[in-house]
Amino acid sequence: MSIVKRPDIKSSWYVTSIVKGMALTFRNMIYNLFHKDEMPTVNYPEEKYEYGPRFKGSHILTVKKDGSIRCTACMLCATNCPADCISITAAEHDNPEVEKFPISYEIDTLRCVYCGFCEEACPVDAVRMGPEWQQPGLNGSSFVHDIQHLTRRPNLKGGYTSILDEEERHNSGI
Amino acid sequence: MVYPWIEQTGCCELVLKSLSSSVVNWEQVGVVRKAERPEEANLLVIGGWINPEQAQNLKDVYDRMLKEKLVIAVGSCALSAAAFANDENCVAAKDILPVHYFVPGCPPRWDDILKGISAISKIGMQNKTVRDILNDSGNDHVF
Repeated sequence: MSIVKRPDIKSSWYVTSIVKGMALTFRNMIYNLFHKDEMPTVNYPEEKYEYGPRFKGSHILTVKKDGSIRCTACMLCATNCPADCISITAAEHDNPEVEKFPISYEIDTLRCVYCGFCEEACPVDAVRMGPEWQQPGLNGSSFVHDIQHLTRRPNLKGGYTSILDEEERHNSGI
Repeated sequence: MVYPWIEQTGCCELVLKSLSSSVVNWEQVGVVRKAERPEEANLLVIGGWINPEQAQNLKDVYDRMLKEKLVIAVGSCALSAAAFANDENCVAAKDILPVHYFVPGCPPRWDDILKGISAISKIGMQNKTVRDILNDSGNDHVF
């Protein structure tokens, strides 16, 4: 049978532990007052956290050098998408050398899981995951993005051009 | 001023828990404190997947909340049951409750969730229209 010993007066006042704890908080407080750059806190609406260059944000459709859309409507991204959020409608092009092009390319951002599989599957560097954040919004704003938004929204400042030329692409076998 | 009640599952739980940490303070965007019961809350934050039993639970929580009921859905699973849409064990939040704010991402950044809370906390305070709130929140893709 074990007997529980009552704490004596010294330890029952908890004076030493209170002094130790308060010393820690005041030490950190005074340190933070004089080292404001090392503070881990982020004042959110004024200053924003910066993510790395490989951040997978909202999608971008690249364009060729002449300004037409890079995508060839091969449907590889729509097939590879685990959430079925990409819907493409292909159409015939006026130019007989071009096989087909997407007349509508829509991404439902409410269903997208931002995995980057579309970027990996694309053989012609047409879809990229951009550096912007995902776009939250109130109920009623548009979450299904069309070609116009994906290629030339104001944040992109004129759109991303895919550097690969048609001949370079065929020569290098991509 | 909002008193949030959080229903969290999956990996969005980790992001939602970090909202009240020392690095990210949600007191600076209008949260007074976290509600201890659903009866005290006027904001319901749903994060992560929802199965049918949990959907019934969510409806009960929504009925018990205060008169001013605001709902935020966080993460692709809660928004539209993203990768599990063909599975009948995962339900979208917008099918069972009226959702006011959508935060896409898998999981979303805490910046976006704070943006949503700060936007939605102005609904109850002033007589603001939806367009005013959208202009304040700085959304670029709003039509």
